Amino acid sequence: MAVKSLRWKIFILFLLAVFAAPCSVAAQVNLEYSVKAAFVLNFLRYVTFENANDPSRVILCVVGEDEALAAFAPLREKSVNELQIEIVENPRHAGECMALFVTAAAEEGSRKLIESVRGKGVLLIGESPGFAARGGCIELTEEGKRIRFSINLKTARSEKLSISSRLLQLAKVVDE
Amino acid sequence: MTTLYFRLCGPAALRLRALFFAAFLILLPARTAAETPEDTAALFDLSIEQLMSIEVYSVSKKDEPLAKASAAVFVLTAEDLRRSGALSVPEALRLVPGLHVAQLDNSTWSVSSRGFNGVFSNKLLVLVDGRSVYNPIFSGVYWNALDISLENIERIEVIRGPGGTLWGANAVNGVIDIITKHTAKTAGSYLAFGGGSEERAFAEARQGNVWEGGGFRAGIRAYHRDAAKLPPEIGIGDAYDETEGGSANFRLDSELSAGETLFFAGDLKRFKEDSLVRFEDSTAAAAFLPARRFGDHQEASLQGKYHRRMANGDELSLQAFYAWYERDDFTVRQEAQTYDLELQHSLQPVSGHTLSWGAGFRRVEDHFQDAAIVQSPDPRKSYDLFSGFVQDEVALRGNQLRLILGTKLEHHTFTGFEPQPNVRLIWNPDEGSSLWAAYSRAIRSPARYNDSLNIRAGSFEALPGRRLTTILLGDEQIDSEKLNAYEVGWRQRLSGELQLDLATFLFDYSDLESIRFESPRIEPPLNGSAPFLPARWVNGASAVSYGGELTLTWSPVSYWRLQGGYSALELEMEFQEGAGGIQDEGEQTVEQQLVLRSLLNLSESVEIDALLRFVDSISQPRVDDYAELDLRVGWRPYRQLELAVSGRNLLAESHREFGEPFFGPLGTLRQRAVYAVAKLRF
Repeated sequence: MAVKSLRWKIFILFLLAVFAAPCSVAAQVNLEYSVKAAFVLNFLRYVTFENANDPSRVILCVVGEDEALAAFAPLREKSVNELQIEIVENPRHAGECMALFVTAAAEEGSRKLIESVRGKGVLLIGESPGFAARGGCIELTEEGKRIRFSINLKTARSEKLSISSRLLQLAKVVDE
Repeated sequence: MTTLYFRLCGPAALRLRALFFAAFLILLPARTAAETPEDTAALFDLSIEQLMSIEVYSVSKKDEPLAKASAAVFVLTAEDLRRSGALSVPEALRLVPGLHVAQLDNSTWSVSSRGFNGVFSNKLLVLVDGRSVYNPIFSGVYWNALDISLENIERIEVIRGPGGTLWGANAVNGVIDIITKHTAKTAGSYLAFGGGSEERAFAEARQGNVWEGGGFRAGIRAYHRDAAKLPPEIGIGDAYDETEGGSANFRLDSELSAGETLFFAGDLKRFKEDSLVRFEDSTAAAAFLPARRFGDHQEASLQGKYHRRMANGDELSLQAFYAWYERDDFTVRQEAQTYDLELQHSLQPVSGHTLSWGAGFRRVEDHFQDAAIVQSPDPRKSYDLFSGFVQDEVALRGNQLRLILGTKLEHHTFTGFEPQPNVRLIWNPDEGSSLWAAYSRAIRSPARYNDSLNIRAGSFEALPGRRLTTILLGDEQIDSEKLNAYEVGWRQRLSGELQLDLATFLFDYSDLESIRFESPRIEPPLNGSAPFLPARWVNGASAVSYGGELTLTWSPVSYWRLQGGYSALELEMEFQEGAGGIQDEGEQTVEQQLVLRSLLNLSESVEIDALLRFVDSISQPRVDDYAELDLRVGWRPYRQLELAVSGRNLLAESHREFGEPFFGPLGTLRQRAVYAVAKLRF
């Protein structure tokens, strides 16, 4: 009895595995995303949004798994130029986002969302390798055990984002 | 597959084949996280330059953290805990390859690493945020009293093997460190409730708030568990071990300035721990009387920690805790308080060296009142532990090779000075591989029961036709148990998705606790005047054990993760002439175990998780091998709501996991259980 039912269960598991829609196993991250969230906070402070449709609010959209969302959540308590930050988690539409952070795991599934913000003055931040080269504005990368970032100046210009020289000094600049 | 010599027979062997049919081989998400992100809130006040200097333990790079550890380490993350469906810490530890987790009755667990299991498994140190929950009276852990919400746990780090140099006495066969979440991660409200068969009802609530530079949370929880059944050879029907309990806890984090943090945490717990106990009395007509034990356990703890990370990378921490508990039933009535203070400092005096040193003081004060099983000629006692350690980590050949040298020196009231040195060497020839080797010495301090408690341990036919009660007598002459340990390990990333972790060990124990019988006596060390057979604790045994654990982690696709571990162990125990085991502790060892785990995301919101485990037999007291399966289906229709149904022990109606201890509750059968849970976050 037990043996049969076990086989059956395992078989079902295999079927599920094969036919399941791809989605990511939630990342088990803590410090990494917290540090990235702190970077993003600094980016918001050193970027001037010339095109912001509502300059009275700072809306940061975060697309990713729970661990990333949890790391960004404390930013709600922070402010940028005395404006309280609002966090929108996994938005369906990017309409309100001033900045958008996408985790590497969530990027593939968020293609449409990412494309939808192009040309709307949104600061697009990612972490997957080549994110900036593919047209993202800022890419957080890892070097050794530390976090670095690259900025795509062409994207910044076309999105009418002016980036402070302080950031540019520390960044690896991608200009293509 | 056939190279795994499972000595399983009958149905278990069939199940084993079924298991291999599944061929989900295995894996282990071994990641160590040596750096605690205790001050994530502080990160938001750092400049970009400061952020760029922070070392991040990336979990996305599966091999990187592992490559740093020169010990057999396994980490359970918050996500692992959530998806295990487990309701308690010991239950969650079943996921850890190489740990033997056995539940004796509804409220009694035994957990061991690399052999020597027992209800008072005395060679495994357990800490909660650095606070020891190892009980110095019975030298074990009251697992049931470790009533922590799994939702509050950031991760559980499990080290198999000795950790005496850093952790001190009793970190002989392993260390389990439970790290709770920073309050920055528990902002908002959380409510969970559920119930089912066996786990009749459970509920918890938590509220958290964060502010600039700090956070607070408070939570309460309660549970009620149904009574289990007795094994047929002992009796029929109910084992009267239903249990219920409740607890409240809080944590406060505060950031004093950049890099300077303070946290306080505390809890209050109370639970009922009923069971049947074997109460033998040579004066009674029947040698064996199962007696109902109505247990009441209460405890409270308060801890605080100051941590400072200086701009040059030096770290300083100061920690203090107070803990109190009282346990009361007719077999034992005890109360104890612990005061503890610890200081740690790490610095880089010269390039290539990381020097850590620390000092600590602990005082335990206990009080016993006479009870039927445990009595003390010395009802109040206090004992002190002074400790200091120093360790240097040297980077050689440009970080490819690292050497760790250190020692702990402790002074305990019962035994005097005890050094616990270690030497570790780790070689990372490339990114994905590491080889490590270690020698270490660890000790297990005598417990209060070894020193000065009298325990009525059952009766023997000492004279023809005459049964005499054996009474275990504490002896102040008893010394520490010692271990010299040799370990070698290898970790390799075989491909992007497959990782291997192998750890092997040779342990050489001496001065192990054992007992020596003396001539029957009449003068009463316990109430009453019946003749009894005294047995005294002596350091009369030695043992050699060797074995290893192999773990593999495999993520064939992004939405499916498999993990598994196989462990094998041989243990030979030898007694000096005249000495023996009250129960042959060395025999209470599970020689082989296999754990297979599957975590599958069926869609964005549906998860299906399975845990299969095979546990070898225990020879004395006899427990058969068994195979069991736990399944969980979780569904998150909204971000705020999680619903899950878990099935536990699904393969058989019931099984036994552990034999009876020499005193304490009767073992009961673990039964199939199904329960549902709803969790709300808002």
